[in-house]
Amino acid sequence: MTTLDSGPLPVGASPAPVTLLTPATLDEALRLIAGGGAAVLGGGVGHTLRRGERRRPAPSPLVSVAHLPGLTGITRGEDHLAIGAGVRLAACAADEELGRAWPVLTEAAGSVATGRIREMVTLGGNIAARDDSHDPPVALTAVGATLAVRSATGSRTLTVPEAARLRPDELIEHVRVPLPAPRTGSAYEKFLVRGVWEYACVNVAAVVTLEADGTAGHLALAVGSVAGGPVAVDLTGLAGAPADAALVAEAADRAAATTSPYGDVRGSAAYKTRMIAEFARRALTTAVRRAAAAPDRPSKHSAGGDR
Amino acid sequence: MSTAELPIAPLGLGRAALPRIVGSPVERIDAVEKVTGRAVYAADSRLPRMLHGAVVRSPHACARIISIDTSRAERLPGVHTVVTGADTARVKWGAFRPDLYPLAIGRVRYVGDEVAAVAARDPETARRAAELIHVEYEVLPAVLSLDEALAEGAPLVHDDAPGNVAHEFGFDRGGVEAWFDRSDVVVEGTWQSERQWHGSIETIGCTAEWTRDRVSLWVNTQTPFLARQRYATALGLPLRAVRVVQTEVGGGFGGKSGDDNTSVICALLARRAGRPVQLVNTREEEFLASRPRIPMRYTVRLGFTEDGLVTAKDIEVVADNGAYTGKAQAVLGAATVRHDALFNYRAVRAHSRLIYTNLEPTGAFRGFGNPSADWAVGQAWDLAAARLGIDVPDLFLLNAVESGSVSPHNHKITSCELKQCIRRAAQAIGWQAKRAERTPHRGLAMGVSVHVSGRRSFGDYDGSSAIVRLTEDGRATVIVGEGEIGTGARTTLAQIAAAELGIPVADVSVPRPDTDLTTHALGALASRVTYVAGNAVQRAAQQACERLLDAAARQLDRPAAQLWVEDGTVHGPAGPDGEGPVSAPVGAVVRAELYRPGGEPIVGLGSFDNPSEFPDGSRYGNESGAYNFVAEAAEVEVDPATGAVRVLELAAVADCGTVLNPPLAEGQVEGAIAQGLGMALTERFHWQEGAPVRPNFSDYKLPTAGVMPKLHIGFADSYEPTGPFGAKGVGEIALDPVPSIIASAVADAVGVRVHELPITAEKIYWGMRNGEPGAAVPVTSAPAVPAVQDPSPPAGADRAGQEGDPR
Repeated sequence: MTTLDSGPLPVGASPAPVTLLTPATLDEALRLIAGGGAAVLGGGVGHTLRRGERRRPAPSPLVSVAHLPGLTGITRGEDHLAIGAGVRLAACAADEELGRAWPVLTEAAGSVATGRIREMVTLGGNIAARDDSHDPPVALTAVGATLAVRSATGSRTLTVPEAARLRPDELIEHVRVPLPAPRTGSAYEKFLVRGVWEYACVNVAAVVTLEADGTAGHLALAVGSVAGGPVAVDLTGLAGAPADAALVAEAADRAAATTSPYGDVRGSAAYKTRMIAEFARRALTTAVRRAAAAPDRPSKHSAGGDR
Repeated sequence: MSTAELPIAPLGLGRAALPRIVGSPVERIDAVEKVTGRAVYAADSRLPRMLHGAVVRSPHACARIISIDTSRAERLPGVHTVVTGADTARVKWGAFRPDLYPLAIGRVRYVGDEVAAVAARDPETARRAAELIHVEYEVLPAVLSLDEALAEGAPLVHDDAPGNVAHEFGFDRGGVEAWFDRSDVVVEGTWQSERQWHGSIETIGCTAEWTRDRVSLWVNTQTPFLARQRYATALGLPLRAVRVVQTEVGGGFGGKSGDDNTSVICALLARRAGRPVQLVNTREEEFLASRPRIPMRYTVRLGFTEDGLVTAKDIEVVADNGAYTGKAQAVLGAATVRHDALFNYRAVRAHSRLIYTNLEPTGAFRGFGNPSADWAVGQAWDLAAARLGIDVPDLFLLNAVESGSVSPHNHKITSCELKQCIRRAAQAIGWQAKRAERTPHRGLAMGVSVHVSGRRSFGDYDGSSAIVRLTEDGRATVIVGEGEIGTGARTTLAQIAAAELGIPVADVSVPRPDTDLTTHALGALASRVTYVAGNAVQRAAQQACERLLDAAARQLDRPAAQLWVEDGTVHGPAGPDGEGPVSAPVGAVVRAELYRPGGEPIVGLGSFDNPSEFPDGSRYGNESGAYNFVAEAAEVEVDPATGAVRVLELAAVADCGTVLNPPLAEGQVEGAIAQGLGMALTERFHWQEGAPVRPNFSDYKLPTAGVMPKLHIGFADSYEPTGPFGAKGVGEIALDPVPSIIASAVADAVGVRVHELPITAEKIYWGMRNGEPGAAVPVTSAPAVPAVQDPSPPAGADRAGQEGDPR
């Protein structure tokens, strides 16, 4: 469910003035939120949207973290890419290396709202908002990304769906994305009622790795805009089959059968279930095509620094 | 071009030679102030010591007010005053059926109904104080749909409206049954339109200031003079105690035509506070408590001869008034009769009812009833074409009205290029080629519409008057009370004056309406300003020009008939005694006329009353002196896997007489098409307990640039003999046929005809599954309204469902 729910009437409520704190370092930010009660401000988009909600007490103080040093770059490691939580979605969408490795991620980041909003939204804020209709968490779930999370007292690693368990005193430091295996393809599909600038009716991410014999060695589907989303679809038993239309259909049907969309202005639950199958099929088909065209060994890149 | 060389002398075909400035793309006179952000909109007004208001609204669709405790709000620092219904004149007001209190007394009737209001030092404090007002309600049973309101023994929204009927009328002109008996083909169906919000960029807003016993209201209203009348009634004041000044208007579309309480409450607050108060709707309030388009359930039966001549039309219309009436009664009138000025019906019958519900009141929206009528009747025509085996444009051409036609309601059609519009729209979309070579999942359709140029509806007057004052610095001021709502009306009126006077448009100013200063005017509604006010301005400018030339004749010693004005200078020929040609700047002539013993200013007065008739109780009467027409054709593509519709191309050819300013006219057509596409495809809310769940633009999807198809816009070669330089109105018409065209094109593409707006992908999807043999899940649920027969998801499959959607 989108976090824009307005709560009960009557109308006319107004947000109270709030205090905005701008720590200079991550450690300082973690200390400021350690006591609870504070709210974290990334790009500020989610906060701005929620300010219009009725009957929702405005959290105070706000702690701004988007500008913190060390959170705003994409770094390449031995077997992964680390995306700082403060990286804007527009930068994610435009990152060439990320796009080569995981088109599903750049497509998802690039499908959010509008260009101007993507320049504001941070990846960390988008995930931490825990809105099941948000696009990047769906794609990150499909690629098996993990979240490096810190508090003033320690650090831990969460999967993307586990972002629901983020504590109020924790910040996402960066998102760790594994580098794809050879012959891996991925794709993101988002169905919009109007076509632009809206929350998805359904959103689906797909990843496929092909074996030399044309079978699907690995496949993954993640679905957003459903209860408990993003949901990693259980595709147990499907790996090892030929990556053909039958496999795609089987996986897509499973995505539809195992997720629970909700009816809203974008469509009834019954319709969304049909659309999950349709867009899972489309995403998987593209992912298979891309996998077949992908190089059969990892591309050689110079180890990149913080960009 | 000069006024003397080319007096507006009739040529052949009743046409006059047109000055160069007519039909030229003159830049808007307000372009720079708007683009640079200097235009003063409602919320930009600033008065010394001004306070800000906020309104407490009902959270219930129907409830009795037990008590209102304002004490906590009054104690909040920064709060100056609180008002409730007890502080009002307890007078009900409304354009046709007074049924609305400025602030609720005893009872609330929809979610958003105004209960109390606060004025405080800033908007935030006012809103917080509004939250502190505690209203105790006894919740009562509400009627949240047409069906609930019409049910036997339904709770009454207003005690004085038995059966929840706010207005009802009907007629049978020409003997419908006899004509159906003689018909070879009869088609029938029911189509339902939905609430549509104006979605103006600027919300409704007002600033009020009292001086002794008079209040001045700076309002972003479309209709300053009509609004003043209603606000005076609502405040229990004589008309002379209220002055209305129009601010810049950031979008009107009917939504700012003075049927809501915002300005009235603002005036109440300012009086109690003893200081100026500004009250501006939030976006949420605009969605919950403005006056959106009236949903209509529209049943149509049409008869035809086997060779395609239309015989009879029979309609049953049930319209959702919401909790209060406003202009809905007039909108229903238009929805019932206007369409009959489009085709040569031999007989027409109607029964129309306006039904109270405990939902947001409805009212005027661009098209004023026509879009709901054209949607339903247009669908019936499309069905008929298929049954008759006649291509739609041919069927339209066979039956279309033309100059000289008279409708069953006595609509007298003067200029009419409807047939030209149909032919050119078909040509522009490539109708023949696309019909000859069909592409799978693509569909093609056409629709037509007729609109008024002004409508005699607010008393037996649809006129306008104007004063053109020539200034001693050589400029002209056009004083007219019609105003500007963003269409470019002030520019068009300046153009008309400039064309008559022979001075540059840049030297014409058109001040905003002020009921104390400008002439009386009905304002920007019913596509009337260009036609009605344009005529008044033209006549005023003609008189000013005559007086200018009389003065110049004395000053330059030439007969007035030999003088002309060009580019701001009066010119005269060589004299009889060998003197050379003469000239004098307009300003010099004006000054010399003033600066002489007994001197006088040069002022022209013009007035024009629409040559129309005030319709009777059954809506018989020629509503307007001129009718505008449009034909539009569209091609759509449907994704069979999702039902999603993409409108590929849309061609529109409008007959608005002479096009005075092509970019402005094109803008009106393009904007109307966009709003029509929103009505057709994207605009709706998810409802619960009588109100939209999320009343904001996140849920309510206005069409964006991405929704817009490739447009082919044209204007018919046309001339309206009663219009200023041959012009008619064009502000609304292009919206009217769009929903029907999209529905027909979808039906043409995939065989699914949707009966309820908007035409969502989901409705098409289920329709296609129902229609396909061996579909995995058959449509088993009964539609909510059997006659509407909308495709819907399988019973029980949709957990959230669509219950709560008002029907």
